[in-house]
Amino acid sequence: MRKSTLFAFTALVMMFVAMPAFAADGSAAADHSYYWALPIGAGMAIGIAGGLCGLGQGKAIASAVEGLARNPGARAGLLTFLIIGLALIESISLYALIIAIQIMGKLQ
Amino acid sequence: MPEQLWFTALLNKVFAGPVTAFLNQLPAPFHPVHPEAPISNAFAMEILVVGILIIIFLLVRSRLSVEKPGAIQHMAEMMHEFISDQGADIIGHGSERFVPFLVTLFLFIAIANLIGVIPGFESPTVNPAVPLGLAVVAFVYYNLHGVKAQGPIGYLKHFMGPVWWLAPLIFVIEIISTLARVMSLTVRLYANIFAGDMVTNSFFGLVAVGLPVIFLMLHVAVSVLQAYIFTLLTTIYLGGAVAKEH
Repeated sequence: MRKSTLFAFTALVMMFVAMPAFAADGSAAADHSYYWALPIGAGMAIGIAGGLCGLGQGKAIASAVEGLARNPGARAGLLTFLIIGLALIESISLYALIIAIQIMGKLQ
Repeated sequence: MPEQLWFTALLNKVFAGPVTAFLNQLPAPFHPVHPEAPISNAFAMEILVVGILIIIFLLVRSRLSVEKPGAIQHMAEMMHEFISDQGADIIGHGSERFVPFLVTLFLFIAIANLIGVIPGFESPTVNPAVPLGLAVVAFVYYNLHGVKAQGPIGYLKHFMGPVWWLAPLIFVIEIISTLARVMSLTVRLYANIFAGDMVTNSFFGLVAVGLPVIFLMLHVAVSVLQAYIFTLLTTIYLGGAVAKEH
């Protein structure tokens, strides 16, 4: 294989092997006094993200339906853009879900 | 002994000895936690998906014919044309050499997502390491082709933005947003499939018959859609990386 490819792969392998440096050390007596706030934070994350993504998707669908009403022949192209747009907006609300899951996981 | 699917248990029964011996030769982080079951569920399911893909490709290859194309050849051609037309649209000319990678990416992610619907199997993509691996492969691929097409200096220059006096600020922003692409590809794929699994399981817990089928259908649609979105975004990033400024 070419030298630049070999160099790139070697760099990746070296980063991979440096993993032992991330070993965590033990903690002292843990302080759980803030744990009442974690479920509130997780709920707010989902609530706000879900609400705003719902608004965004509503706007996207409204424009798509209006465009279809003006020009019914553009159905295939509009459908493609609509589905791609909805999936990308959906992914923002799913990022919030991942954070909420991690926050709730911290409780255990 | 971790909880294993039947396919994982089968693979571990046959291959546990050699795999554990090999992993023990490597540095400490690679030593298996359970020496009698070194192959994890996600890995075994990935091997299964690769096996299915190889069988499909061999099947298509063995039945290729110019005069009388059969059904499976039509489907393979439709799939190839779909990705190839999209590549030509987004990347412009010279997109032909990226199409095999993109088709493989699409088929791998689609089948990996769908295999979780079958009882007894689990999507490898619900383990967050698998979408991360796919995102890193796509990231390395498009950056490598960008550097190959424009040279390392030319490739870094297109992070600088249009005007030279804003270049330091825009360079930092562009580097951060490029690294964020790995994270966004990973989390999008992982969260969609994981959330689909969680929602389907919750509804199976609530109403045992009938209603969960709707969520299962939604999960199937989301699986294929997310595979398509991953491939589309990789195509867009490829197009941005190899584009020559005229």
